[in-house]
Amino acid sequence: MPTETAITHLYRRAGFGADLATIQAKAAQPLATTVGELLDDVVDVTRPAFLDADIGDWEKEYALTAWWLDRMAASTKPLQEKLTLFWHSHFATENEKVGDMRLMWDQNNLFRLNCMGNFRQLVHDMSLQPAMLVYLDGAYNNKYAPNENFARELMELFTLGVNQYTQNDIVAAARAWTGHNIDDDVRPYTYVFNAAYHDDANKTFMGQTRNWDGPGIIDYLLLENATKKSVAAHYMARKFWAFFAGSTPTDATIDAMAADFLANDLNVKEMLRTMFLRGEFYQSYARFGLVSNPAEWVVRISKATGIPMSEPEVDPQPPHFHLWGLEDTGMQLFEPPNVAGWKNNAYWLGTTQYWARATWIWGNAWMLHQADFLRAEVFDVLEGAGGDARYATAADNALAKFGLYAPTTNTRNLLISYLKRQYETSGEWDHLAWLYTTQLITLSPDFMMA
Amino acid sequence: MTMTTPARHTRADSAHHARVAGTTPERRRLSFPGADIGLSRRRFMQLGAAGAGGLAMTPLLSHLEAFAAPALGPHDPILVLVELDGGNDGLNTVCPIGQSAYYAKRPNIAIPANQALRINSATGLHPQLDRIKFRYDSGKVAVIRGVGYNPPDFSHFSSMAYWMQGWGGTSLPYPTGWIGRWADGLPNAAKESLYQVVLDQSVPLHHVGVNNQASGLPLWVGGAFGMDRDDAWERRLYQTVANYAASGNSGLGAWGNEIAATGKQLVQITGKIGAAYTGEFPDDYFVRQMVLAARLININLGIRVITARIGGFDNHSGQGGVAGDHADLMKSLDDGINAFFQTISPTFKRQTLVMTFSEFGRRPEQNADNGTDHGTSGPVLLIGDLVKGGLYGTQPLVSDSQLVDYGNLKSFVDFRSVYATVLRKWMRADDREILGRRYELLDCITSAP
Repeated sequence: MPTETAITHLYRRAGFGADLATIQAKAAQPLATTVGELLDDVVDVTRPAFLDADIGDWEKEYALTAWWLDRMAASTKPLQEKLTLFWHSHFATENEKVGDMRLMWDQNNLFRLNCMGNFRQLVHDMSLQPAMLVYLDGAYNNKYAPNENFARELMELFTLGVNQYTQNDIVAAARAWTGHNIDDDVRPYTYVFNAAYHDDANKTFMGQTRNWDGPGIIDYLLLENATKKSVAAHYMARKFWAFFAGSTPTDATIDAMAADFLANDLNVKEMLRTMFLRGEFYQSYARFGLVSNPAEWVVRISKATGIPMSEPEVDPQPPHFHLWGLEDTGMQLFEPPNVAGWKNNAYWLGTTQYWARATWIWGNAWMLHQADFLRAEVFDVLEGAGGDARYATAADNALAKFGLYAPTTNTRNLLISYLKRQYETSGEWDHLAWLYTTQLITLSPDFMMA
Repeated sequence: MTMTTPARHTRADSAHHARVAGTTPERRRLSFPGADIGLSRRRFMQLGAAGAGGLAMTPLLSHLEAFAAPALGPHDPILVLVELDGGNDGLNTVCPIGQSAYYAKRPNIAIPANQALRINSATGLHPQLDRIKFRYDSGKVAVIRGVGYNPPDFSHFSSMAYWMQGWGGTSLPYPTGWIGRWADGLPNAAKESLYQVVLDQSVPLHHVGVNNQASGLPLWVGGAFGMDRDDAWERRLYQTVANYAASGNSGLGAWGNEIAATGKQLVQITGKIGAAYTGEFPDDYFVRQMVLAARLININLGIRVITARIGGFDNHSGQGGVAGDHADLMKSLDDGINAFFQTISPTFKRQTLVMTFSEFGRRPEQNADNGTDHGTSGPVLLIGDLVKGGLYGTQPLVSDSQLVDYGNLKSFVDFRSVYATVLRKWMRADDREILGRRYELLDCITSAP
């Protein structure tokens, strides 16, 4: 049976953490059973009504960001949402250019419903969605002056990685994609094939001279050419590992993941199963391999406090977290920094990015007052009997509230000594117990790690 | 890669990839088994040198001031890098107004000769660069033309990584950038985090050293964590956050240590920088950066290099000519550089050099969307009191017979020649050691300060 440490790790990476009862229950059954449960079918969602409301697009963007973060926290299929985030970063698309959250929703929900299906089909589907057509300039791509933007990133970022193609291949692929455009007479935009704009002549792509069409490029790379298909499988295996484990993988692990990916015709679910069952995934260097990204950090705070991101629609307003300020953490959903998406680890640890998280919790923790957060766990304990032991009890209670059931000695000792010093030097501390304790824990290495 | 017009918070730029290109797992083969290293290397080296207990606990914030960078003397060079993200259209920045092919290839977006800011019969600046042109006429701007490298790479990410890495040697043991390697040679490099500063972004590759680590500073600090030191309880909270790093061992491996160290670094920095943020700022995102850069220099925290960034140059569609998206960017660039020199104090102005760079220029022929696709060489501007003003390099020709690499401009000056010039003649540094080989020097700097 797996250890509780392994299960805690699995649930943080394949989701957004688990409560102690879940961890204990899953530690009492085979790991393969738990992984199978996590990889169970995806669930559908209801399209949020605000997408069609008569409000500004930026308001929709704000609302859908809150909606998605809340869904990450509350979904019974957290891996589905984690994978949706993975695909959003992999096929990165910015609404700043797309300019219509209805199109971003279509893309987001494509990722959600096909998050662990066939990779080749997902590439096909996202390629012809208006969000991607607008973002990478396929929207008006025509044979008179082919636009190379999508053709390049399809190979460089979406499937193969660098150095797997030539500039000639990009030019040929750009010609192949001509005519796959948007219809901008309708709102929201729809996909349209403009035969008059499509280059219907022979092109030489990767040494093959044919009358290439855009989707045929995808099938060539991910089906017909076994070498390129294998390159893509390894490229994707490394991306999944970087997202879920973070550490530098052994070649054996990447080869095993890629082999399963190929053996199942690029089925994502089977590759993930291999990864989550791999011994290396549970090595300490993999457990210590990843800094949380701001979205998962916020979601875990939301889960710990029980306070959602979405603003309530009726009065009296219960507390909710604000999204303002999250942009500076480096991770604004629906606005990845560029088509290469978000990176990991060091990417989140610039002073600016760390600072934005510190400032966000600094500015938002005040509302926890309304929820009486940590009153029983910290304040009442400090006010009670028990001598110095009560500082440790209060610290352990608070850490457990944030899902840190086995904190490091470093963090635990620091929190205990802080509580003691602060409590002994101040008379009335009730209005600050929840505030300062929350800030210290959410900025601790224990909580900042993924 | 795509990019839109420069909204205040345009993040649609390419450098993020470049800045972490050196931290992807594939490039970390020399790291500890199974552990990422990247920016953590500095801390590993500290631990290696001093042992796990070597990072002394500093119980009072005032003790942290011991980390302050050495203040600048009048002969210490300052370098301000202006990163133009997305691939700036060099032909519409320094315009070849004497070449008919330029107009033939760009019927909708060329800058008319009579509207360019004329340098000579062959060359003019974009009409929005009027304050830069004024400085040029005062002999304080070196326009280096045809800067690039061979063979060109048309990927934003790869090309920016080449530029930021700035390495011409045979092998580079760690993924570092040219400024980072320069900072590694400064006193106490492993502990000092204010030698190099980047504004409002994660640390780009050119600022990554083996030992020295750059700091990122935001553009807004109102209500920010760490800034207000009046309240004793808040000070205690800040100190506790810093103390996560006190033991030097988070118990969570390299990245856990890095998280703790970043918190400590933040608590140190927020105690020092407040004065630079007081007062009014302009609204424009880039101009704000340049004003902040000047104010940070003015309070003399010992900052040697600052990078400011303006995104939005990936003008695949609708880039415009005299007016339009690219013209707006040119205006921001001109406004920002002007604001910088208006804000910087006379004490430091003479010892400051401003340098622009971008990952590549754009293709001479416009595309069907009235935009331009990824290209090759472009101009670099050096601006400052001690610059020897004038035109340098060679203006690439636009006619078909002179184009290379899929209809693109030739490169005449390797970008590392520009770096070598700045390193040797401005920073008084060993350019060969930092760049991995010798490059031809340009005679465009009068003297180091």
